[in-house]
Amino acid sequence: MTIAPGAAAITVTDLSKRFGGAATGVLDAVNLTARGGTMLLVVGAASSGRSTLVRCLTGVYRPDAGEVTFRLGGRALNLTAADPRTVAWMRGHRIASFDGQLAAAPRLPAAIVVARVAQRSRSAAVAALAKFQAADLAPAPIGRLRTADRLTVALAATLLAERPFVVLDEPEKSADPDSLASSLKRAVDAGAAVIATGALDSALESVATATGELRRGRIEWHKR
Amino acid sequence: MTADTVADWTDRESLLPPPPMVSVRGLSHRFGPGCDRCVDLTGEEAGTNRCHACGSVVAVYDASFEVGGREVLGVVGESGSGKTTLLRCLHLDLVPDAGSIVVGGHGDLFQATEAHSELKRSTVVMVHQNALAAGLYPRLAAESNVAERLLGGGARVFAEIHARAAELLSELGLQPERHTDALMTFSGGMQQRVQLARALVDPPQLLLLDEPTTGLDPSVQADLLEVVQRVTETLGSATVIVSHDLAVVRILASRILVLHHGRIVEEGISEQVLEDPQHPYTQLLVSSRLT
Repeated sequence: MTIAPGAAAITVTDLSKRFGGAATGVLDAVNLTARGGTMLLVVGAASSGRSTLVRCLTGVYRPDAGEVTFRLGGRALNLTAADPRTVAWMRGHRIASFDGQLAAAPRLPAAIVVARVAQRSRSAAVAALAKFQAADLAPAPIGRLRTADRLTVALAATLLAERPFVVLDEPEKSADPDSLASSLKRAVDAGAAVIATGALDSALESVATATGELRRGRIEWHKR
Repeated sequence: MTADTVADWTDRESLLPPPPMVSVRGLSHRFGPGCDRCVDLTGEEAGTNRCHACGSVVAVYDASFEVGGREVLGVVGESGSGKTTLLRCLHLDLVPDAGSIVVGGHGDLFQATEAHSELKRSTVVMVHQNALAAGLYPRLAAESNVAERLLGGGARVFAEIHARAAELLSELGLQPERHTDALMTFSGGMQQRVQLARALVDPPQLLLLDEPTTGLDPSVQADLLEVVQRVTETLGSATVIVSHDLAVVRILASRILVLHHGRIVEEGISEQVLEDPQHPYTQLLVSSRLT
């Protein structure tokens, strides 16, 4: 897949999210822009809000304030104001998100799950698993896999989908670093707007266009 | 990009889904005489769906939602929330007091010129928890139950009917040696597969699944989930699945409606409803599930 240069972008404006009656939000007016053909890396300590950020970007959490705008060609969509059918469709067709376990019938072989999520052929799915050194998982029923293996399968599916927007929560936990870096580089080269989160010492900084640290609900961008 | 990824993309830069296949607007159904206070005395704030002024039960009030082709919508809620009444209205078994069900190409089904029996053959198909409720014939062979639908659709050549019925049953994982066995000798999960095979004969625009895995062994449930997933993808229908089992709904549906006291109290993508529920009732429903 190739997306016209600069056609895709994810823009986050003043995004805030708090849980329950907490006095301080997990996210406090976060701003960022990931343009097509670039990758933003958001690092942070444990419970700094990285997963919350990803979940707000992919429509899983409803933020308390702010906008998450996806742009493609001349179109724009604010996901936080979109109706659920549009959010579901974006997740199924435009946003490659990796924010947890795959929901799938437990007896389905991993390769079939990957093929369905990515809407690609079974052989493409097996090849995608092989890129993550996980070809041996292809015939295994998804319900029998260890959590780490399930995450690898989910990540392979996410990146195989070749969508214009890629949003990944701590992909390093689920894949061998070299395979991950080369897959992300391919997505960036194809013109996708990529956002990934990682630990403070994330090795993905080498492939990222820009890196920021999430701290007390805000992002501080690293100087290059 | 390879051909299989662009199969149904008409506009690769669109950020909006194609128009819905099914639109339900303002659907309301009440059991009882009704009075002018029914709506105010029932629902969320009243904490009941029974009007204490006239004794009527407002089973579903003002339900509106849309479902696209190949999309699966889950409807959850406890017993008495209105799930079954909603489903029976969608299946045209009940005529609602108000509201419309617009299906692409047919307009509002309640205003359609076709008989409801004809619409139920071609447009709206329900897979019941109980195969007998679906109008299947317990003493007839599985194959004959499928053949009946093929005949209803106009097929007349015996060899073709036989071959197609066998093909559909095999597609749903029923072994050929069982095809000629009477339906009543089948387990619940197998009977549901026969119902799905009948649905595949003439893909409906609206496929309704009523508690598809209830009462089945966990291993049979897992198999059936896989079959249902495959069928909903291949049919291209708009699918509505009603279940009290949140785990099942999460696997099958991308979007969930939560019904409580006959009202839709929350609608969202499945992950959002299950992980970041907004309505207090949904929060209760999600937190009380056994994991």
